[in-house]
Order: sequence, then structure tokens, then C-alpha cells
Amino acid sequence: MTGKYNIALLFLLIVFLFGTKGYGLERFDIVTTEEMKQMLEDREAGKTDFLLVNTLDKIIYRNFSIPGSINIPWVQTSELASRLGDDKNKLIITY
Amino acid sequence: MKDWLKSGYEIKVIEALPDYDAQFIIADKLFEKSKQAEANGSCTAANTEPLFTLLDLRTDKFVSTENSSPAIKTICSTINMLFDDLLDPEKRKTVPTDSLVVTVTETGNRDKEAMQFLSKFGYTNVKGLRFGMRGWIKQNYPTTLD
Repeated sequence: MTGKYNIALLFLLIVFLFGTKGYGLERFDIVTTEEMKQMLEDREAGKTDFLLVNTLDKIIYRNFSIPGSINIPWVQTSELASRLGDDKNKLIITY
Repeated sequence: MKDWLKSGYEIKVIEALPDYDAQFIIADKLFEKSKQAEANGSCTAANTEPLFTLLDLRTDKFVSTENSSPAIKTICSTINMLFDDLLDPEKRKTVPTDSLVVTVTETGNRDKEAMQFLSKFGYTNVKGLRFGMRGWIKQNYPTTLD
């Protein structure tokens, strides 16, 4: 009885420790605001290169955006894909 | 973007939206109005103007992989367009200026900007649906797949 109890406890422990991470977080790296600021400074200094893509509506993008980003409203991704350039290996960060 | 704004870091403004006292209507209130219209057999108020018109700005209606996504079921008019369609004067003209317009977005996150933008063109009777379509569905209020 104690053995089964211990196994169940171990199972629950594993679920709590490793099973609570969101699916999205497993598939995509998340950049924090602070990291983004640093990356933009590094890009400005020529130390790195990436595309920062604002996927919000044009009206909202024009109201305010992160400097150095381009706007591709996600509903227009197909028609505006050329804005992403030809280098498909380039890092793209969306917000 | 919200975190970036909160951080106080520099932002780029191309065309600022005007200040607007953005007000929201909760799903309960909208449902009440819709029921009132149904009881009257018409979506017309005493002053002959519509009780309300829905302005459905949800993007997922246009890109959904499903055949259609549920919309609010009401006898009052619903105008469907993309958020950026508001830039088009012809499409914007379809939105009534002299009666209540209720914007509907996915979760109520973009309504404030829609109200601000419309206010540039004299719209002063626009409210956002609090928590958007998600708020409506959460209350189990009627929807349609039309």
C-alpha cells in the first residue's frame, strides 16, 4: 500500500515540477522587455541582427510601437510577407 | 506592447489617436437591450434610431480555419469589418453616427483604439463590449454561426 502511495506521490511531484509549463512556451522562446531593449541596442551597435515585427492593426501600430519595428498585421501576413526579406534564417521577433 | 509601455521606454508615434473617454458596456446590459429589441419586434428606439448597432471587428472571423466563428445573435444590425477597414471612408460610412454603436473584438483589448479612431470622425456614441466576444460566450448568451 505504501509503495503504491509513494509511486502516486512521485508521479504527482513530476507533474507539478515538469508538467505545468505552457505549450506555447515550449515551442517559442519568449523575449522579455529588458532583453528586447538590450537586443535593440545591440542591433543598433551592429552586434546582432533580427527583425522586430509588430503584428497589430495598422491603426494601433501608428498610434504607438516599439522603435525599430515593422508592421505586418497578422491578417495581412500573406500579402505583406515580402517585408520580412529574403533571409529565412533571420531571427524574427513578433509582438 | 503593454509591458513596453509600462517600462517607460521610448515609443514611436506616427499618428496618435485622440483622447477619448472610452466606455464599455457589459454583456449583461447588451443582452438586456437585445432582449428589449426582440420583445418590441424591432431594433428601433422611441426616437426611431436603432437601439444599437454591433460593429464586429474580430480578426478571427476573417482568418478562421473553421467555416465560421460564432457571432452575437440579435435582431439588431451587425456590421462586420476588419479593424483597419475603418481607415476606408467608404466602409466607415456604413457605421451609423447618430445612434449607439457597440464594438466587438475578441477579448475587448482593441475597442479603446477603435473608439479613439472613430472619434476623429465625429463618432461620440460608441461603446466597447467589455471582454469582447469571449465575455459574451462566457455568459452563454445566444450566438449564431451565420
